[in-house]
Amino acid sequence: MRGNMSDDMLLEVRDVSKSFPGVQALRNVNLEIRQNEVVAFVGENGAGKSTLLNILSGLFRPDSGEIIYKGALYEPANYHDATLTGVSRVFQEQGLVPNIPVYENLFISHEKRFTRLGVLNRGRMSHLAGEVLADAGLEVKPSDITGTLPFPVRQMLEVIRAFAVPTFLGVEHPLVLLDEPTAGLDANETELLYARLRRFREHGSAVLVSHALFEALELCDRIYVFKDGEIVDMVFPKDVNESRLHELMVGRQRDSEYYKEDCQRAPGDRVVLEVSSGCARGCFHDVSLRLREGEILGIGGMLGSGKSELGRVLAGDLRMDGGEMSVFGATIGHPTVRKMLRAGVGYIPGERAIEGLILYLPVQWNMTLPIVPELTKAGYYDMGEEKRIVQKHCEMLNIKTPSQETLVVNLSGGNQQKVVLAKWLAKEVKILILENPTRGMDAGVKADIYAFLRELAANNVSIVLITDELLELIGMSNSIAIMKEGMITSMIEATAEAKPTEKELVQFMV
Amino acid sequence: MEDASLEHSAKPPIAVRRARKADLSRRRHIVSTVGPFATLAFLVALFSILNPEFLTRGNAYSVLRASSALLMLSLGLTFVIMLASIDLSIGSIVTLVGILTAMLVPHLGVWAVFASLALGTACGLLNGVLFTYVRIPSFVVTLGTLSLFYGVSLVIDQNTAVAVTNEHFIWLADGTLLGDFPNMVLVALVAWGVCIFISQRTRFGRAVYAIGGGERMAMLSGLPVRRYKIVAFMLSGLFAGLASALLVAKFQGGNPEMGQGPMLLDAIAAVVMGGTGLTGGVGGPHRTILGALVLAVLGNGMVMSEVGPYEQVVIKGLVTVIAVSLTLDRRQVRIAK
Repeated sequence: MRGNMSDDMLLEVRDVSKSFPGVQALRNVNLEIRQNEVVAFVGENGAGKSTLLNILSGLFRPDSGEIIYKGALYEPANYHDATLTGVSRVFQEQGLVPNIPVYENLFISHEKRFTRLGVLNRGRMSHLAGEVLADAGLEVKPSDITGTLPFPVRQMLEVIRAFAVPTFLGVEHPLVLLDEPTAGLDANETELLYARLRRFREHGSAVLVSHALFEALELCDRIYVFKDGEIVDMVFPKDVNESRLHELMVGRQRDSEYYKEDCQRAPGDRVVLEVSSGCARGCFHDVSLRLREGEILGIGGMLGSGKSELGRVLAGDLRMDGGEMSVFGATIGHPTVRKMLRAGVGYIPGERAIEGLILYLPVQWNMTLPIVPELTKAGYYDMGEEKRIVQKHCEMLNIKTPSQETLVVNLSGGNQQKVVLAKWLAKEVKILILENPTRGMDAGVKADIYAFLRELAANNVSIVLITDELLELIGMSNSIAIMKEGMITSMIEATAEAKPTEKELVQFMV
Repeated sequence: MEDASLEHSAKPPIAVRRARKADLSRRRHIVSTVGPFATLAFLVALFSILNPEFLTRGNAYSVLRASSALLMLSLGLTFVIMLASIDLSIGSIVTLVGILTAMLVPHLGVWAVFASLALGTACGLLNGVLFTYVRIPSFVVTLGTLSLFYGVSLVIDQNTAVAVTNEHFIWLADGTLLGDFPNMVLVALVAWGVCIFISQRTRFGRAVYAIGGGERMAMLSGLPVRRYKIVAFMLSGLFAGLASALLVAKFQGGNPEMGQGPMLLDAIAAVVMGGTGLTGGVGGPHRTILGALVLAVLGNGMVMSEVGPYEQVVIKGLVTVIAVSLTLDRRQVRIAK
């Protein structure tokens, strides 16, 4: 059996492990990809799919284990190296340079092939690009400036580039890695992509990572299921359906101790934040929700479901195009960050480093930024009071910092996140909007943060918890809103006694 | 005081690495704090060896007098640079305000100085509004107003000098309120103190550091970012107006070239040499005085040491580059633009 398989074996991953500080991202992963085969990697966020793609495309090196590609040990030094051997990738975040023409982007880093005596033959480059684009059925001129094209077209360009580069380099049996290629594409482009992928299979292999499970079922020969850094199963599309795949993806035990579920209490009756038929153009529409006093309201959904944008609207950071929002019964017209703050709403965005902290300022300054006006008395900044407040919150949140003057950049990720929390605590907000508050944290810091959120809720602070982590969503929330394609598809009660399962939530997400 | 674990551990635990990084950054911080002092001390020592006359009370006063206009100008500019913006129009503000002040002195006497402050602030307000509400990058806005303000002053006085003879007004710069200490220097030092207070002890000051360090974060924390940006440009204009009034008093008149020439670039150099990075969020007006003094000592010292006028320009350029490289903590600047 194994003998005749290896004839058309393209790539073998053997016992590959990879860890990051505090996280075992991959644990003894074994898999194989054959020639002219499309395989899918499915799993939740953080299951290890992207880490494996990063290793295959030369961005990371595995801690242990080996990869055999076309019969030889495969150890690419970087992405360029990987492309030369025939492995190319479509990145989740766009990997195109916006201010140059399409043809330059298509062959970026391979310009050498178009060069004679040091002079770049742009004509030939552009001509070849034209052929490639026509072949894919995309109506784009090679000379168009990339950044001026709409998002779905740019996404398709990346896909086309990944397919075209190996051909152009003359590699036989190339391997293309597609990381969420259809996220953000509309129906038309998605069809083009499927057609291109089917055609590509005749001379190459592909890996498809997707949250849209029907894609995996429809387009792929085999499906590897990832969970917590391991491959838990390999299935054939004909043997499973979507709901069976979900079960395989999420079947985990939740530790109710970890999320302090015994401390969960029923929220008060008073509605503190209410949105009725809220709408943000292109992000979500007709969203209505009520947040009660001391409640933790979880919001879940896939990437692009509109949950992040909902958080930004609640914080006044994104314009609400329709609907009404009220805080403590008072309607807020045209919410802005300042209006929402004055009403008592604090916001901790997902991108901690860019949006939550000023890395090269001291802990002290970061923590008191929202209360700068309160600390100013008769035009004079009260530094003694500031010191006392910072001291108090460092103790309360167990923030480990050499001194208040230490620059935030020198703290660990967990302590940085606690500084962000402390900031809003010092402001004494009544409502807190959090997005992925524990992303990238180790277990100890997570436990600290969960305990702390419970304490806040016990003190009648209401929390909107927007998170990609299902277990966190279930464990922490009083009730859970699931979003899909810009709508709330379901409101699920999650009392301490009757927590929903991951499976129950996921069915409303996809 | 080397960390002992440096030698034998191939891969120390994260906590240790982090602590060491913090330690390194502290050391780096000390270097960047001491840098401008060291430059200044070195120059003073050098010139006193080259010419014993350098370290006299009289010459010290003349260095201070020479640096005071530059100091006032660069103090206001410091706030703008801390926001990671730039104000290229301050030299032209000096010219425009100078001409108008000289014209107003016959009518207002010594009180014309308040008109200078108001005019300078108004110029800054224009810059600030164009920058924040019309959303033109500050470099472009002030490049435009640089020409605009200069042009207006040429139109107003038809490229001639306006003399000032009012003794009270001239006293603003040349008088001695405290012993034989020149008033102009006194005003500059008071301005310096006021700016330190503003940057360290007011909410505007705190906000400037925050906006320069992370504008989005400052916005999400509820700071009125646009308003503070406008205030920074107004301060820049205000101090340019103050410098202009004192220059008019010192030179007993205004002329259309008084703020042009190297004044703008000297002010930027003084701010950056003091330790306020163009990338924003670090430094402050308390440090800008060092940059201004370095430039003044250098200029004065080179004259006294009989360095040729053309060589002076070359040396000034070299010292500026070296001083900035000592001062800025370049690890914080990931991409130098």
